[in-house]
Amino acid sequence: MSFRARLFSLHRDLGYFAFGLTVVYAISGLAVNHRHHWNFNQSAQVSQVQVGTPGQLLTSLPEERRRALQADPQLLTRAEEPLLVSALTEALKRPRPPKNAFWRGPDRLSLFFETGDRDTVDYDPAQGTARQLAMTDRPLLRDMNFLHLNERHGNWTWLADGYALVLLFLAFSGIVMTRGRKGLLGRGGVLLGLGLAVPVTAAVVLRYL
Amino acid sequence: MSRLMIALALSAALLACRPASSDAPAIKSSGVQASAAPAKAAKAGHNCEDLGTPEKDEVATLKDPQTGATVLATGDKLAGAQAVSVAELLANPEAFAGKTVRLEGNVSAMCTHRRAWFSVQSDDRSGGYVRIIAAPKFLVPEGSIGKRARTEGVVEIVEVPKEQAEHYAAEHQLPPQFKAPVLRATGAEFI
Repeated sequence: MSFRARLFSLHRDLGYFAFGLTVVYAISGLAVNHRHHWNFNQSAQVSQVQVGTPGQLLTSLPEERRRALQADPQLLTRAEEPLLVSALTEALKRPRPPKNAFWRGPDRLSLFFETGDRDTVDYDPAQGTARQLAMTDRPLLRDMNFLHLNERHGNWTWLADGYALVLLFLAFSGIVMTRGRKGLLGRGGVLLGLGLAVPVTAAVVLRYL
Repeated sequence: MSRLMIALALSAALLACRPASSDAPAIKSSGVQASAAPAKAAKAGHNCEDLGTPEKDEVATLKDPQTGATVLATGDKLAGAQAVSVAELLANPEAFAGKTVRLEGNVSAMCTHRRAWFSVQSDDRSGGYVRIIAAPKFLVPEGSIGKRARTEGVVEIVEVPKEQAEHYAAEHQLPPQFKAPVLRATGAEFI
């Protein structure tokens, strides 16, 4: 078998082998390239419900106290906060109390029902509204981004390095496989030059001019 | 056919050479320890500044001796620095600039894509917060928003470019701060 035939076989076999990772890196690359346009890992579902002001929710408090809270929700004391969180949990028909709850501002009591911001509720005591935000991983794309962005490092770093070397081999073997007018000394050479000109020109113009 | 391919390649080259919008200026630091952050500021969306990547992204799982709760520890072990509340730090940041302190509070936001920083909320209802710069020393564990955090590091007072402050407000719901203390952390625990 000639050198060129061996090269062709290897190029073909590695091309098949690299297909899966190429699809992963290409799709994730498109997603991450537009990171300033969207959240490439998660999608958000937002809904808002009217649950009532603290004066309306805290039915266990004396009537006089509830009237005071109705007039000014900022009068809510630290001792009354757990009562409010319980009342909100009930009003939102949640089966379990939040993992944590704290004020992110005078008009924003945040309740965290899951780890992180996967399931949060922002309660506005003045308006009596609860804004529910559920974040979910984008199916498949989250996994592709995990691999592409090498989030765990470790052994995947070496595997990704190996894939990069395979791509380099495919690139170099690809340009020498065809002979004649369509090869490196003909049309292929022109396209190779143009293809090299894209990153070189872009780097010079975008970085130095 | 070949003319078509050449035309396509030329079009790609021209598209790639469109002038880029200018990056926002870097964060200016006035703390004793100079800012090591290249701080390529964001225009909009999920595009936090690149603060570098640590050599290791290791998180140790511990038990909190007081509550028995699971604690995720990352970066250097906390060394028992002077404890300061978020409210105290915000009230008089110059008094703490350059000093190593410990902050504790609820995590109200974090950089979800680079995991480079998180914010600790004041325990009152003021909405005050301090940003904790984790990278390049360590990365903030995923899903830290809503947890309680303890962290130690050096206080710096930084000027935040308008574009970056707008990014924090739009994407992280953090009220804009144009000059504020930050903590350049050496380690943190998330409970």
